[in-house]
Amino acid sequence: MTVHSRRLAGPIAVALFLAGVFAVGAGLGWATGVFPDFSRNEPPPLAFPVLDPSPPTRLAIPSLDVRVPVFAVGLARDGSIAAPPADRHREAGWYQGGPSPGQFGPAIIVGHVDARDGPSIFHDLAGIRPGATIEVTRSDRTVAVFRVGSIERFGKAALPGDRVYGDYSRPALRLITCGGRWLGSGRGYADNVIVFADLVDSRKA
Amino acid sequence: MPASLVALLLVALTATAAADVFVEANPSTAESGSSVSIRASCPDNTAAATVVSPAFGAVTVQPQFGFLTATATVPANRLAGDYEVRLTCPGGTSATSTLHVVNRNRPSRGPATGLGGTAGPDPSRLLIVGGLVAICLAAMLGVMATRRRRA
Repeated sequence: MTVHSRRLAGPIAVALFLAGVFAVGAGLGWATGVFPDFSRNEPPPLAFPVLDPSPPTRLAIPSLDVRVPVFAVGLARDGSIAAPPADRHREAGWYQGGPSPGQFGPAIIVGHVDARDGPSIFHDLAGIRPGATIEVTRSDRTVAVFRVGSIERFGKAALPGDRVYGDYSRPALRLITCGGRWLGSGRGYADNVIVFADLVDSRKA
Repeated sequence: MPASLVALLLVALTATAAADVFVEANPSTAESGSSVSIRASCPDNTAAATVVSPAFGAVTVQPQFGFLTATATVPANRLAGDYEVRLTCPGGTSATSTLHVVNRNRPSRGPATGLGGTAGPDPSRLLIVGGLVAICLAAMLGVMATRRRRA
């Protein structure tokens, strides 16, 4: 070893060590789902409008450049909310058993993160920021304007039911897609990514 | 002339009285099996009144903070739909509003919202293993450097 390389060995060892620690931390964070929780909690609005029931027809998330049609879905055979079928993966599904967007309670809209051949409408949903705007156009030609409160990730069998489905204290929206590890074509993804948003405004379309 | 003026005044008075008579459920959309707060107002808010709805039956609203209030529970077996809520004041005046009932539903499993087209290999294992390898390399390099220096 030359004098020159010996002088470099120390800094290189330190840099390698730091990079290794960072990589292990990032890997553990990814595996345990800690990261989405870093971007949490825009407080809910103090004042909000309340709208009469009307089914949603379109969904827009300007900050993600998402503009998609919405149709009504029910329950799947396993009791979960039905996701749009593969041939309609470019549309979002509104759970018609719950409130419509703008009524008191959480309106649920589900969309695919990907199709068999590539990304789908909610591919970038996990990257939405707290405070971002989500606009839902309804069939009565009103637009319900929601503000994102938090983005969170849960194991598919461990969704906090009361927070996702049971909060009737204000008009709210839950956008749900998939995330986490891919477990194979029979089982899908391990987790759900859920965007919690609250109604802040409404206007005529 | 004075007679029509009195009539006009009466109409105006009843109009304001009618505007003051209302009933509302909060939240106006509720799950079956949950409770709602009823807030109502009659021409005279010092006497109790009755609120009736097919969603929760009949409740008596009592004077509280200048309004008439009560809590009503929608039975767990009530079907989803829109239900009229009718307030009847002691004097006979009445008001209505609507309570939207939805079925209570807590799917135990999250929706299947991915078909796998962008699912690459899980990066977490690569990151952890790669990171540990980097730490080991760093340790070896550090040991080598200090040994050479001593020698």
